[in-house]
Amino acid sequence: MQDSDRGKRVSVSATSDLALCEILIAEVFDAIARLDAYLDDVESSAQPRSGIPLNLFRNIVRKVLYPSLEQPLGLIKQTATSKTPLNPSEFQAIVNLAGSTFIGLASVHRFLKYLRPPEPPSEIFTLLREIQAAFPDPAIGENEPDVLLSEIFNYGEIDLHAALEWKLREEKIFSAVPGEETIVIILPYTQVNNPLMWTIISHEVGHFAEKQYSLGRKVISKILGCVPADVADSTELDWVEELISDLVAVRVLGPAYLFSFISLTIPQSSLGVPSLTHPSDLSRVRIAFQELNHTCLTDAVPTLKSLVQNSVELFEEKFKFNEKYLGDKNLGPSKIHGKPLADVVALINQELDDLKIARITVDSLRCAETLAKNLAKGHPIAASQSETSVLQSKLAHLEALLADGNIEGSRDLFFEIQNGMVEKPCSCSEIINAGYLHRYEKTIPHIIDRLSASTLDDFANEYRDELKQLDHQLEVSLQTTEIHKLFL
Amino acid sequence: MFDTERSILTDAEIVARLIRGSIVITPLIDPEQIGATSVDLRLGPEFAILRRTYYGHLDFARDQDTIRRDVQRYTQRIQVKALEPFVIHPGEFALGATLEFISLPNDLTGFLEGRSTWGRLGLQVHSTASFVDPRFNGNLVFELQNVGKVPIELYAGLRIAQISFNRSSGSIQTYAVGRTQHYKGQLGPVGSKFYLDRDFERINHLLKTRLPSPGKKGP
Repeated sequence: MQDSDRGKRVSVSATSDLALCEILIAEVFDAIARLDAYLDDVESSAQPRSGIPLNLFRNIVRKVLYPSLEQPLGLIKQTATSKTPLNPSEFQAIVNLAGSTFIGLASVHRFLKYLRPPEPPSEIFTLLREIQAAFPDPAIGENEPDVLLSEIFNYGEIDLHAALEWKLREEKIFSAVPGEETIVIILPYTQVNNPLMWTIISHEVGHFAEKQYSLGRKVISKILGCVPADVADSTELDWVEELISDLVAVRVLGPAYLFSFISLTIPQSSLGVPSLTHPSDLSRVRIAFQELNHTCLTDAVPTLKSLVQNSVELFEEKFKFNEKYLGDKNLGPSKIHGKPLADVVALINQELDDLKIARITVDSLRCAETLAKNLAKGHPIAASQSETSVLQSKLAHLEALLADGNIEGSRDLFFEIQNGMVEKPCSCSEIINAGYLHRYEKTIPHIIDRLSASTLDDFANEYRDELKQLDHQLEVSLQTTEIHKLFL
Repeated sequence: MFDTERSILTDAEIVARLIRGSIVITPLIDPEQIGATSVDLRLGPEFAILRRTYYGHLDFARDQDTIRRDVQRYTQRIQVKALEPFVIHPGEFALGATLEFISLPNDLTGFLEGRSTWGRLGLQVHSTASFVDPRFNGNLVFELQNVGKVPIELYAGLRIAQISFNRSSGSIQTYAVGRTQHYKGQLGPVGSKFYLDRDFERINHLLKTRLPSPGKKGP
């Protein structure tokens, strides 16, 4: 069993030092703090005079959600103080308690629609444009989706004809309405200011691309040799569509997508079993992980590589016990259509290769590792400088010339150095991957450190401010990089 | 190697400091931003204006947290997209911020100034605060005002200001360790935090203690 047999550290430095139950508590605490930060945002920006509903939500956070973490946290503190490892039933109790708090949080989330949501930040569209630009075919970018806020992450199509048909017939203006579908990407309310979770948009754009090129049907026809008439409603097609979207997201954003998927699913109390529309969470994480290992997670990016590895191990730790019941080694539940998922992934990759979707590079991930250090210093991370060692040696030469009073002779060298100092704008994927590195190296360990030291209420207020500051740092970085690109 | 007697940094000194990381100005988009004794700064995409219709005044007698919230509500953030103008009309006032994140070392003081090109159109980039303490880091806030006669269209990324650097080694109270550091690490056009000043706390306390309690009638 996954008990915490290590002694409690005084100060943890990276997620790799944390046990699963600590990660769960940290993720749930973070999710509650994010709800609190969202309520702050509603209060200050969208609804300055909001009354009863807002106070009601505030009270739920203060009186129900945070206090529900006290008991599991108490267990963790107890085991740390006594240096006695958790036994399996204590461990399971923590997992259940954290899971039920997360369910409580999800139910609160359903009622956030009664508050007037703030406008989504425009940086979401900066990321969206970058994801769309990864497709060489301009058709993907032509239909810019709108972003709506709701309870979940989703991708939708609003067909004006279908939605308004009855009214339009009555008014006899049916023909005046354009027949195109409008693509909508739906974000959960509390993630609207969290650039790290915007990565899920890449999965939703993947759905759009799948539809645009009928990729799912192509893959199914390769498996079966034909496309059956009833394929549109089949679990097999739905699963293929989900896998296509996951693989698109991993190609475009790299580890950031996998991190966001794990962050979204690990605190949930569900068993991660496959549904009629989605393969199991465990299979999806494994497929994404394999894809990253085959492409960009090389030894050139040691920090990211080890963090991804650790996060996947924690995920496995939570869900692996259920593996034999998942039943999704093959595509879909049908015995007739059963095909190993690994083979299906290979077929999907062939299709995606044909589309020439740009993959995130090892260089981009190296850049993200450097940027994460600046993020920790409180800097926005919109741009990166080229290698400074060449500039340093030229600078030494310049200083020697100036020391000799040779201003005329130093002019060309000065301009050369000046030209070499120009920074290049970072991509959204670099910025968000850096954000995740920072989250796993600093933020989550910091939560656990502080939770074991102070009262929940005190830390919650302080942490909410930190959370907003970091979100803002990332938003400003995305904003700045877009302005920067105008001047290239 | 450099003449340390001079008080203002020259281009070569600025370049040396930037390369060695003692001054941070990022993003540095164009080499031409570095002038003979200053670095041009660009306008960021976020602005803050005052919502005059919500409050008649800020009540100094309320508690600090309420005033903080009032100031937030009183301030409306506006974010322009790339290539979308922010129009500042004659007589209007708005807060803006540098696109660049700036970090100064222990031994330098910064001076923010407008650029003549924009000053000639009537644009002022600061009203009172041109001085940047040693070890400040964050975006610099512009107190934008159009004192001209015609509206000015501003776009994010325009070079509207410049910063020069003076040597000031020996200060004990730098911005990072000083008693007041309300704007440390600020990003975007952060509004006034006057309510954090000690003097304000004192006045607030005096106003509260001297106000007649509810229910008591005055003379």
